[in-house]
Amino acid sequence: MDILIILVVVIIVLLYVLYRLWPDRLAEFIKGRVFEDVDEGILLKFIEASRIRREEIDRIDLTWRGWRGSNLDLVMNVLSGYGDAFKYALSMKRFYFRELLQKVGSVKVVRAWVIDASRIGLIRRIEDPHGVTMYKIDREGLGVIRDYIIRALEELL
Amino acid sequence: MHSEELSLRDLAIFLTALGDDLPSIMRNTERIVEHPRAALWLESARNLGIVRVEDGNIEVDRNALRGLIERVREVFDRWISSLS
Repeated sequence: MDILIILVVVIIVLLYVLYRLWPDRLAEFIKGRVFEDVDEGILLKFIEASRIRREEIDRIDLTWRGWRGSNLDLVMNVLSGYGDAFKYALSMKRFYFRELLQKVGSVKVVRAWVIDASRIGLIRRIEDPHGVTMYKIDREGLGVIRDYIIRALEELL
Repeated sequence: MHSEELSLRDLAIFLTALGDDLPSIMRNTERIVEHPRAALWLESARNLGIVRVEDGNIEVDRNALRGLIERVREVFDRWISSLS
C-alpha cells in the first residue's frame, strides 16, 4: 500500500516536472520553426525598425537656391518612390504607421519614407486622443514642396 | 484636372535623371547624347510632352514646359485643398 502511495506521488511529481518543462520546449521548437532559428538580436532589430525616434529626424530647408546642390532627388523620391507611400498617405490624410504599412507592405520602406517625408516637412507627427503616434500630411509643407518643384521647373524655361 | 494626369514618376525622372546637368542640357540638347541616363530621361520628357525627337534632333517645347508648370500647380493645389 505504501509503495502504491509513493508511486502515485512520484508520478505526480514527474507530471509536474513535465508540465513545467514541456511547454517551454514546445515554444522554443515553434519559434525555431517559424523564424528558422533567427538570432534574437535580429528579431529585436526588426521590432525596433517600426519605432522612429524623433531626434533622428533633421528637417531640411526647402528654399530653392538653384540646381547646384538642390534636394530635388530627395523631394521627388518621397513623392514618387517608396512603393507609392505618398499616394496612400495622401488618400488617408492622417494615418498610423501600421495603416501605411498595410498598403506599402514593408516596414523598412515605410520607416524610410516617414523619416524622409518628415525631413522635407511633408508630414507631421501628431497623437490621437489616446496618445498613440499618428502622422498627418502637412498642408503648409505640401505647399512648400509645390513651390520648390515649380521654382526648379521655372529655371528650365 | 485629375491628379492622374500628372505622372509623378515621369516628373521625378525628368527632374532628377540628369542631375545638375539638366539646365545646361535643356539649353543645348546635343549634349544629352553624352549622358548615360539619356534614354531614361528622354522617355519621361516625351511622356510629359516637353521634348520632341525628329530625325534624331531633340527639340524642347518651352510652351509645353509652361503647361507642365501649370499642371504641377493645379495638381498640388487640388491635393492641398483636399486636406482641409
